[in-house]
Amino acid sequence: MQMIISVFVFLLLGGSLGCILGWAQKALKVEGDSRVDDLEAMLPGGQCGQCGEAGCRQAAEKMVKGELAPNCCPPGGKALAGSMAAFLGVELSDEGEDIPVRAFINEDECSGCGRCFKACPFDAIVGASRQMHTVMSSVCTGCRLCEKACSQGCLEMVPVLDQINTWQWPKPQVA
Amino acid sequence: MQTLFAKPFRGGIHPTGHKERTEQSQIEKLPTPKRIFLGLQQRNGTLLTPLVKVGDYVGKGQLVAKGASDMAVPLHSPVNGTVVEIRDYVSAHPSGIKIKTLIIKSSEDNSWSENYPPINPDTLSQDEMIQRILDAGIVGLGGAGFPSGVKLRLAKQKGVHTLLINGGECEPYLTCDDRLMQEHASEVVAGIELMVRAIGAKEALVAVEDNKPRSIEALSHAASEIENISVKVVPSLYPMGSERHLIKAVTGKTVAPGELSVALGILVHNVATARAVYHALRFNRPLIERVITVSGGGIEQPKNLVVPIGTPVSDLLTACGGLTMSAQRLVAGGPMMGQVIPSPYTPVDKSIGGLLALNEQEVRDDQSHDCLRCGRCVSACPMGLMPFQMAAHSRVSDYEGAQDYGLNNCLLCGACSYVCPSRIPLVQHFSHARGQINAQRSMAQKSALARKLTDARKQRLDREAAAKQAEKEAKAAARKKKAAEKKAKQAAAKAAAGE
Repeated sequence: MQMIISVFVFLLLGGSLGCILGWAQKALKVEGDSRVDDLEAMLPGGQCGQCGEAGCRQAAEKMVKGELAPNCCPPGGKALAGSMAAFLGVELSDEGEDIPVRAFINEDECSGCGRCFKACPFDAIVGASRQMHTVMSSVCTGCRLCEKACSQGCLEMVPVLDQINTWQWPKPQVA
Repeated sequence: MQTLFAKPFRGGIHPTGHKERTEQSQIEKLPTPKRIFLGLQQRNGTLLTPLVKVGDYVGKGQLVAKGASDMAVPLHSPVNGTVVEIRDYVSAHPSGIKIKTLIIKSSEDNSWSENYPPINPDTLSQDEMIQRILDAGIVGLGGAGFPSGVKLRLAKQKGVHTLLINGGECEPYLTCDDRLMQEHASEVVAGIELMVRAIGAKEALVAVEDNKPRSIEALSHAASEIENISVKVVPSLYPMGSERHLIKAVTGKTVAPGELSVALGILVHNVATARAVYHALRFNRPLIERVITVSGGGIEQPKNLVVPIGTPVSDLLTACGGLTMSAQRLVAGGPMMGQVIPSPYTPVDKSIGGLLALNEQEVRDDQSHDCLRCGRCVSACPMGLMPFQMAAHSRVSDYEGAQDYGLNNCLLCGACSYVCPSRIPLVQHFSHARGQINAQRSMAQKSALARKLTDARKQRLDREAAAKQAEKEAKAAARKKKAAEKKAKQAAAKAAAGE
């Protein structure tokens, strides 16, 4: 009789503990840091590697850990740096601000190898094989991936000059 | 005629007028300049395509450049002459950035190139009138330079009932609108009548500040026989020339922030624009010249001049006896909202109504001090904002903070800077902050576009890979099938041979 009771008790104990564990696994699940997904969604997704990471996902992970500054992404520029810094709640340092650049193809020397076209993650380069290629400057983010791909040395990065509609008043120096 | 005396709107200032310098000087015609410089890029960045080549002969009034949309205002040659160059040249933009410019060497002949037949505007339909105004290249001559035809078309679509004509001219020094109203009152009134008909409005109100009694008299006289045009006298208070404030002063209605005045059924146009409309519709003439006040302590003989569009500023200065020894800064527009002119060779464009040469006392380049929290800027702000707070945020690059304090509603009228006892460059801070916010917005748009393009590219590459894979599989299947058929054939042959 005693044996039957103890078997019954242990069965009950095991079953109820199992139920609790099963519930806990679902209800108390610790997810991966959701901020990584949010940051990845904010990044341009070009996987250009200018931040020094393998891709945008890895950069997002490092940024969440605090190992990478939010202004690490040249294609995203100031606006992205500002919004990511605000998202992570960190201060943005003003230093290390580069002059924005755009790719420019010297069309006379282009052989039409198409390597730059394949390298561009933003489809900012157009041209058919064995034909001249060119950069759509309004789309180019200046990620420099095509610069390395060009076999002719006819693709260079040029600084973006202010236009009438992009020029901004400087900050007043006093007060 | 009706006078409104209560305080017309909250805030505002009474800057020293300095209008006496040019008030009495009749509008004179500037001698035809030797060279004309027509910029092929508008202030908003829109590019115009030149329709003439270097070496071409152009006639006065000939269309020389046009853009792709109605927002790009066509340009007409203000002189008879030859196109000598198309190259980058300084523009009236405060940055001093050079833009592609059409340079015309003018000839002595000053007659209109074609025989523009006068038309009877009564025979034109509303749409024809608006189209003609667009084709004549007319922009708001009050300073903003928005295409007038686009504004009129919008007003017609929205069923605007009141046309409000802005004869406020609240900026100090400037008297070009005042003189224009006195000397060409009938043309202004005729232009107003035409605009009323073009948009199907019920009535037109002409608002003039009470410091221009002769203009009020001239306009009242010119409009006395016309039932639906009335002249309203408004008190002199800066910024009366602002659309929202003029509407508030004349009708008592408030245009909600972020809304356009057409939402209230009111359209505002400047007096000089009304006259240009008259010239376009009655005489078939494009906008090729405008009246400009040349004044300031640095000018020998201040004057009001009719200036062909594209005349270099130096020609205007020459016509006014040159600069005095104390002249320090050249400003396009009035002293409150005007912009520094980068070089004396800058050509005037359609939206410049004044040219000021300011001397040392007028420039007020004093050292600024810390904010005293005196609140004078708050009581001066016509939009009911707190300039000192916005400036504090913008000073530490917290542009969003400045936006929370209403930066987007700021008119950049400069009333706060004018009254500030600490000489804080408030309005300069706001211009800077607004520019930064715009830059950030366009960068964010570009990032979003980049993201969209990478996604699209990824999808395309996946699709291409899938298509390649499918092709490979199809080929492999075909090969297998062929091999199987061959085998079957061989087997059949074997079987046949065995039998």
